[in-house]
Amino acid sequence: MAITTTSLLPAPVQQSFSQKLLSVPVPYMIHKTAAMKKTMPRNGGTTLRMRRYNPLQTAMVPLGNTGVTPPAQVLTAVDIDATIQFYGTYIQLNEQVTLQNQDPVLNEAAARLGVSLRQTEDQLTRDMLAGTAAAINCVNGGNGDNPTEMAAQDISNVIATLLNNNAYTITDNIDGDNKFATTPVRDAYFAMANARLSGDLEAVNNFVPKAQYPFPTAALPSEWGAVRNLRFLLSSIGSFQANASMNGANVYNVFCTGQEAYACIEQDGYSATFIYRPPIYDGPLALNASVGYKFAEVPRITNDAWIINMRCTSNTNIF
Amino acid sequence: MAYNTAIFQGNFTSTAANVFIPLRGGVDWFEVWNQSLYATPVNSTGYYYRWQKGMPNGQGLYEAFTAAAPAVTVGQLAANTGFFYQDTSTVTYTFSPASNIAVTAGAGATVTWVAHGLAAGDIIRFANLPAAVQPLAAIDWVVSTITDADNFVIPTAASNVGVGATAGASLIKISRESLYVPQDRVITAIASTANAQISFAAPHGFQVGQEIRINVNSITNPAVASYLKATYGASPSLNPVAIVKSVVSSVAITINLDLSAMPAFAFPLTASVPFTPSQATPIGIDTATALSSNVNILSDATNNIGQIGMLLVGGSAISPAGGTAGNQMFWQAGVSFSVNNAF
Repeated sequence: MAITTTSLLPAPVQQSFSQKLLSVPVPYMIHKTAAMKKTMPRNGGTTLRMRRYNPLQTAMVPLGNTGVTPPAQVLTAVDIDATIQFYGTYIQLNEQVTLQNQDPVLNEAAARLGVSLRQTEDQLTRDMLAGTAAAINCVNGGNGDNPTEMAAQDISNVIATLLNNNAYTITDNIDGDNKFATTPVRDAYFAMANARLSGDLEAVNNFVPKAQYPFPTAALPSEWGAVRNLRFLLSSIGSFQANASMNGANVYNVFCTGQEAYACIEQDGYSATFIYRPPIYDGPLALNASVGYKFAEVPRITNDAWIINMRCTSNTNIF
Repeated sequence: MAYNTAIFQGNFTSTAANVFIPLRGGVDWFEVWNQSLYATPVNSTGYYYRWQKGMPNGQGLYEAFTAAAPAVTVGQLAANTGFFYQDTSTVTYTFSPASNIAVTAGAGATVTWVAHGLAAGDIIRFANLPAAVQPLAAIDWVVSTITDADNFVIPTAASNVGVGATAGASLIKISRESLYVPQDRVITAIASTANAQISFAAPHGFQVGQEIRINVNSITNPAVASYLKATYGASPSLNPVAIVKSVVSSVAITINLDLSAMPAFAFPLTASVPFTPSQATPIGIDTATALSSNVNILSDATNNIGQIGMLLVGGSAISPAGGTAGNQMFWQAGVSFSVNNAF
């Protein structure tokens, strides 16, 4: 009996396309979370100048009864400047791509460009903090490196430094609740770190994972947990310096910040723009479309005493 | 309108050192002519160079006069002597093989590393140093001067570390430090003088009038830290702020504070490892000082120094940046409509 198999009668079209596209990995964008938002005015030049007055001395000595006027204090200020810079990128698509591809290429291009834009903004802020923030090396870990891995005392040292510098915490207390294995969370500064430190954080004394918050919905999606008055946000694009430790290991920069420590300044009249130019703009035969973005921004530390770069190595191995 | 092809051109006078040509539009090909040699041929010198995408980074092609100019010859530039396409927004690392590295003591310590291949201005990091010189590790140092092919100098201060040598230590050269300037700097020395001088491990980039916070480690220099906070801190626990009074060198400044009564500052020794090095953190600018010193009052502004372009290597008779100072070099570069490389 003759059997007709696919060898004799193959499918005329061998493959089908799955219309639901696969997920694209997108990192958590954490570095602008605690930033002040400022705006450079249109027609205001290239540089935003910010000013902070310096504290005055206290007047601890009584005036007495002589009627003599004491000497005046001098009021001084520090000016802090940030120059706007412009960024952008684009994709060019031949018309045949959008004509013949089964998936919505332009839609996906827009989505990818959106991620590229936000990630660029995040990484610019990250790199500014890495180069400009005052640093404290972790020294209380036990791995024999310089800096060591993070330990509870290192975190306490950073918290004490921020408190003594009169940095205000960013988040309020998360009050306790009658839920098993949860614990209240203190008012806290934010710490922005690389995701490779997740294992090291778990090993720190008094680490409270997000799952043990009384109200986990009060936590940010990128939040990993808290140690005392420091709540940790982790991202795969968190800052680190390769081969920078005494033993040649990576050094991770953990930016511990209070309120109003740094700002991201945008240009008024030039907010992030998505630009689509259909093929008609390309030339006599209208062959290529382009899609891109541009924006103008500059990050700047506005008070160096309210942000600390806690530098550490890691005991966690990833493959 | 085709906006994906472009041609750029320009010229420069050779200093016999490397030259970086910024080209934000990217570059697919690059040509250089040494006009001075076209005018007056010189034996055994290169007069024309070309690189295009697909050729190894750091190399390229050349045409040169032979030992009897104006007869010519052609060749491929040796590795690391030609064209380097660079995007400085990403850091690149050049690793030394684990080797025997020796460090002498004192100000301007000499590092001995056979055939180091470094140049003045390079930024390096040490790893796996012997105990006597471990405090130098985990800090970015500038190569101050090249003594010879096997020795170079880093800007340590007189009180810095002892002598040490070991097999297995290594060096890493990094292409750049921070993407943004001004940046915080590791302090190697603070002089106890009026208008104190502060020295750094790497180029500071500070200008007169800029304000910096002096963060001295209170564990490795307790007396110094206490003195500074008590005498000049805005509060007893806050590190003091100083104004840059003058730029002494690329690694040293003087400040407006009188530190003649300050106890001696000491760079940490091996017993202090691990430690946080003392730093100067840029915080802004004192406009009054900048104006009176005729310095740009916006010199403290945060600036992203990332660039895309072509590094032309210089320093030899056949090099695209010119081997003789004073040579007039012309260049042309371009972005192609398409690049179809089969290998």
